[in-house]
Amino acid sequence: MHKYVLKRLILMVPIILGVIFIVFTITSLTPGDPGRMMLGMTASQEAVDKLNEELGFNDPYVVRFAKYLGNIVRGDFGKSYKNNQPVFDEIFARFPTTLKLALASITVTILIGIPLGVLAAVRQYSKLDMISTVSALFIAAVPSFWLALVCILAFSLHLGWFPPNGIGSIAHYVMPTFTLSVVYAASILRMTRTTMLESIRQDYVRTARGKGATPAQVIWRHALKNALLPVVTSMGMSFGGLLGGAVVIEQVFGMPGLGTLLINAIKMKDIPQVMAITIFLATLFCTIMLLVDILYAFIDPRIKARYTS
Amino acid sequence: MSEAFFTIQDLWVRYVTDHETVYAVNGLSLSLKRGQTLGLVGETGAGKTTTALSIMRLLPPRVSRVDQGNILFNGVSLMDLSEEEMRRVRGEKIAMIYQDPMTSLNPVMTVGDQVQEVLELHKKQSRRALYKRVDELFAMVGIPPDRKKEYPHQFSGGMKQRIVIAMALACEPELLIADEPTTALDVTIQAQVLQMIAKLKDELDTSMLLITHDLGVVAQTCDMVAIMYAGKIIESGTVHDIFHNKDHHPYTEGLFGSIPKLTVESRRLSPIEGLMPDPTNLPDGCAFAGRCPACMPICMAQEPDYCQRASHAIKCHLFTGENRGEAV
Repeated sequence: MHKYVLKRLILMVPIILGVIFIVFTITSLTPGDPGRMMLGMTASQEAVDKLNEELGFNDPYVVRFAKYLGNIVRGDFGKSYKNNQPVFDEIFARFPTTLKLALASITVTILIGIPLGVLAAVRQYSKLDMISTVSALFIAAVPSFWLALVCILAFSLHLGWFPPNGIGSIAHYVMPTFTLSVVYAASILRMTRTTMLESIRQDYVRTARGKGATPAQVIWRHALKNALLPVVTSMGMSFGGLLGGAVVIEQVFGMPGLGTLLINAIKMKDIPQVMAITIFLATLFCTIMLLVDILYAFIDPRIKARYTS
Repeated sequence: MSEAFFTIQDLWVRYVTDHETVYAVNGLSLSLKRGQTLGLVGETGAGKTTTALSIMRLLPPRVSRVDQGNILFNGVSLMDLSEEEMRRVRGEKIAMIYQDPMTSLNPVMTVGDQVQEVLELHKKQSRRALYKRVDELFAMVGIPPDRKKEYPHQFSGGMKQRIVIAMALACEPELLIADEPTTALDVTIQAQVLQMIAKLKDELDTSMLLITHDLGVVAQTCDMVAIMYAGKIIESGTVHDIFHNKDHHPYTEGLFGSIPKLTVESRRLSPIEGLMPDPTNLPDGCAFAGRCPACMPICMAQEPDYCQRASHAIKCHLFTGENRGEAV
């Protein structure tokens, strides 16, 4: 197991390098230059050129990439073109907001999605099943920004229950969490239902019933654990996605999270900031997927056996 | 010999789907005396497993229909019990050993927990007594108790079936249903597992319904035999009746005929020609008529009654009514 984890950690290095390469290349291919962005439209061309030269923007692509890699290895991710602060200052200032939103959303997602998915499978074709699968399908088809706007209209403008934007209090998080989690819960519900339907038809479930186990024991102890693997993967991916900044939702609700930071950095062509956020998120995502794989081993002993061999 | 403590009376089970109706069990009756082993013999699709699952009331919901019949266990009708009462019967009074040990154990629970679960469900006892009993059960089926922390995938097929057996016998049930317990196992360990079941059954004074398609197994382990064809018992009796009496249902003759003999040189097996009738569309008259070498016009038209001679019953026109003379 330790060896497996170590192997996976080492494997993260080439993945991150790949991400760096791709994002760096894309940012170099986009038009515009940082000098103009920083100095504004009124600045003279000479000043802009001078700044671009200072930033090393006029060097050939390969040289810039090599310099950047060299800096990263030394732990220097550069300074934001926008405010001349180390890029990670801004990331760490904003990450808590994103993390809080992501944690709240994934928790609500699990609490709604899994129990409803299980019930829908156990009472297949019942009214509950119909209602939850149809509404899951509907919600999964609805764009999240639309849902967010409808929420703001209904709960902020008309009812005045929750503030429409900002992050001052817990109330600020209610609507963003709701909008994000219903969308993810819809897909988790459908997946749980499918895998549960499969697992409740397995022989070992019949064995459990044959022992005299209650329906609840059969479902929660025997069937669910076997149905959980694909659901856990999907949850890991969702969580990774949520941490990556629910870009649209943060924007709609005016939350200063990583998502809004990334969008603004891209707009400003703030290359060091874009790079740093991407690297940060990629690393986070890889770590979460590793945690998911480790979690697998605890759910399914057969997989654990494979890790150790 | 005591009275029958377990009887199935005229059981009819169908599976109904949108496309078709499968007539799986069609008026099956059988009875079992305490301490005895009844061998239920028949080829694949004869309705043996359906019968077993009807007893446990574990037939797949929605598609299965028990149209008629009664199952009496110690004078109580299992059909009339509530789900809650039935749950107390399952695992404690009536336990089942399943066909395929590869799939009937939960892959994500330790085998010890799975055996322990039956005890927890039915016997109130202290933790310590519980662990001790689990160890005993493992030892009883010949698995070192310290392996109880392992998972099913770490055991071979024969070992898994032993665990299933330990699970079934944990509460010392009055009736053990063994549904082809050795079919999925390697030939070399079939005998081993079977002997163990027979031995433990005797030690615990359990009665057993042994479902099999292997006549050799029946001869070794059973007291009574019932031969099943297309959802009905077509011949039943003591092992002596079936193996030594002169008269048999033509299907039984066919079954015996299809066992290769060591003493006779033959280059080919002699199977029963044809296939079992389509259970979605059973013929009128005798279900075996289409394959029967001794088929008479009446067989196509009318279902035969049982011809009862002492403990031996045969459901065939050859032995009933006016045909009786010519056949014998």
